[in-house]
Amino acid sequence: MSKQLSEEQLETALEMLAVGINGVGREKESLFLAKLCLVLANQLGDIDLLEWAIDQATVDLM
Amino acid sequence: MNRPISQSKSLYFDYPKYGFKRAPEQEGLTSVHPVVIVGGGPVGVTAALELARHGVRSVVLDDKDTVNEGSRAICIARHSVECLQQLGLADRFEEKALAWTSGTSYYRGKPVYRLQMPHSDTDRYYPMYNLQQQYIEKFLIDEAHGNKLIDLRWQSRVTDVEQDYTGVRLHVETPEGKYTIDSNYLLAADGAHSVVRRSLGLALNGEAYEGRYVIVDIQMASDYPTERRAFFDPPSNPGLTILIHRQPDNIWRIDYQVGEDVDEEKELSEDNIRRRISAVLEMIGETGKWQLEWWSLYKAYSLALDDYRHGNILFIGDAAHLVPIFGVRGLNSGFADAMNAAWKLAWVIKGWADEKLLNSYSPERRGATLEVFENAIKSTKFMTPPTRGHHLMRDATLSLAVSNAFARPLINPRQSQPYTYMDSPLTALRKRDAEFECGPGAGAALLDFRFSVTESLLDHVGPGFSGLYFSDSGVVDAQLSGLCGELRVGNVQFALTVITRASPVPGSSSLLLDVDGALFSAYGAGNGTFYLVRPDRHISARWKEIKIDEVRQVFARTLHGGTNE
Ligand SMILES: Cc1cc2nc3c(=O)[nH]c(=O)nc-3n(C[C@H](O)[C@H](O)[C@H](O)COP(=O)(O)OP(=O)(O)OC[C@H]3O[C@@H](n4cnc5c(N)ncnc54)[C@H](O)[C@@H]3O)c2cc1C
Repeated sequence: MSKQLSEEQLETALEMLAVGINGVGREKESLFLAKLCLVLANQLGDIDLLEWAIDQATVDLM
Repeated sequence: MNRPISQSKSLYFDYPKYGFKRAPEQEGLTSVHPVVIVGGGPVGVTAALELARHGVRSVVLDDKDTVNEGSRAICIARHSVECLQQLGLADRFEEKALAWTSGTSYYRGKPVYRLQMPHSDTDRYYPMYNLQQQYIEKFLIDEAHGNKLIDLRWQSRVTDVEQDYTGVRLHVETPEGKYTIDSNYLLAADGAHSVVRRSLGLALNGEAYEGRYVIVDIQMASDYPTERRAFFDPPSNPGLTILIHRQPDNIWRIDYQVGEDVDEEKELSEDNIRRRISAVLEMIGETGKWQLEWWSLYKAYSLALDDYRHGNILFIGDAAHLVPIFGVRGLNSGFADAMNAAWKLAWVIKGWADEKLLNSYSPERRGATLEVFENAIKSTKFMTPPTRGHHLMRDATLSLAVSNAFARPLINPRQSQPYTYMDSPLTALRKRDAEFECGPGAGAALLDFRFSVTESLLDHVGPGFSGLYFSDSGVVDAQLSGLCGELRVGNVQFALTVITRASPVPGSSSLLLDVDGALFSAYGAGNGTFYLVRPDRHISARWKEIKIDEVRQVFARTLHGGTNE
């Protein structure tokens, strides 16, 4: 597992993402999130880690 | 295919009329032909010409009386032009075709990707050309009509095919009645709806894609350069895609995607086509007059036979596989099929090779199809995303590519490339291959290299097997000359080309001077390097330093289809 964010940084990330989503508006939300995922996947530089992340995001979609 | 109601003829191409002639079989003269080819399309006629180049007769049966009309190939890749060069047709092709190397993809009007296909001074041919398929067919057919070894029979429809261990029998319908014709071998080049395939109870397997495109050719004077233009989500086709290509005779091909829910009849009405094309032209700033040539509807498939050989029948071209047009591989693959099948068949028929050589046809060319599928599936999914997820990620890529270089390679249309027969039974000595740092490896197509405007390496390759020998001194020792004598088969010489950095030895016509060592470098060669080249100009094996015994063994193995006896 690669480097993780501290709790404080995670909170900041949460806020930044929420602001980002709000900023683009409902109509562009999906496109924005898809772009973000692609940028982050590229930065992650690890296809297995990406697969793991997709799995994590897929479970418990209640 | 549809043409405008006001116009029965093409705006620029005179479709030839090929008359029917009674067949010898209709006069009671029966014989067993060495090869019958079903289909006088581009792939069938290419095969006939290649068989003839090796001295083998063939009969070509085609149900039409002209060349293919309408929605057909325009983008022809370098490797196909090299095949045409082998058949003596490249000059005619180049004279008419438009060469190109680049393209631009746009997303909502913004350029997001620049396609730049590598091209240097040492390349004799451009990576890609645009020429309407009907011209290519005409060049091939004109050549075939002048060849005594080819019996082209027009207006002759094959209705059924039977095969037993002795050969093949075909049932043919003509304007003057039916006949049967027998042959030792059959090349099935009868296209997407192959009757040969149906007669044998064979099916194409694979995938059909969701997206549909209207393919339109128009005539319009414009000085926009020859390059590929792709528009994603453009103002004139919101949410969908458009492709534009220039062709000779001021013809422009405009392919635009249509939505899933459109009414096909309305969409394909002449008025609607005119309206759609006007919107596209307005978008790209073309304000001049234009005329409609024809239009049709296209849907992409990736389908292939599980095996391209069934007894004495080999399937070539669209009869063997259907590939999506994105990446331009249909005819380009078909040419390579024809060249591959024809030399093998010719060498078997002439008795120069064992029948087992034919076993390598399907693994080689089906392998090529599977690679084509891999690339074509990627480009097709990008052009016509099959699901919401694919659509979203495609748009995300395009949107990112406006300012992020990392996303741009994902837009690459993955144009046709020659296939390396890596897993072929004929590709030998991988351990020797591994000794090279660069150059075309075993199984790859020969890399051409231009020396002057009119001369390149391909001019030095023989009609049969050839050798490239890299030598500092240019001297061929007795052992190597002896080997060349041994590798002569029937009346076909083994063509040895010596490449040297030294001054040419007087009287040696097969000696190439490589003063600056560029060819040595391109082939990863040193003193004594040797490449063994097949008649279809793929590399059998290569040696950093020639091993005479191994060359002899590889040659013999190849003629036995990759087996040792
Ligand atoms: C819109 C479009 C665009 C394309 N663009 C490209 C491109 O840019 N580059 C590329 O490489 N490919 C392209 N292709 C694919 C290319 O056109 C085909 O791959 C090519 O025509 C295949 O040639 P063929 O000789 O195998 O088959 P065909 O061209 O279909 O020829 C088969 C021949 O067999 C004859 N025939 C059929 N049945 C019988 C019978 N029972 N008896 C006797 N004769 C028979 C037919 O009349 C025909 O002449 C495109 C295709 C389409 C539809």
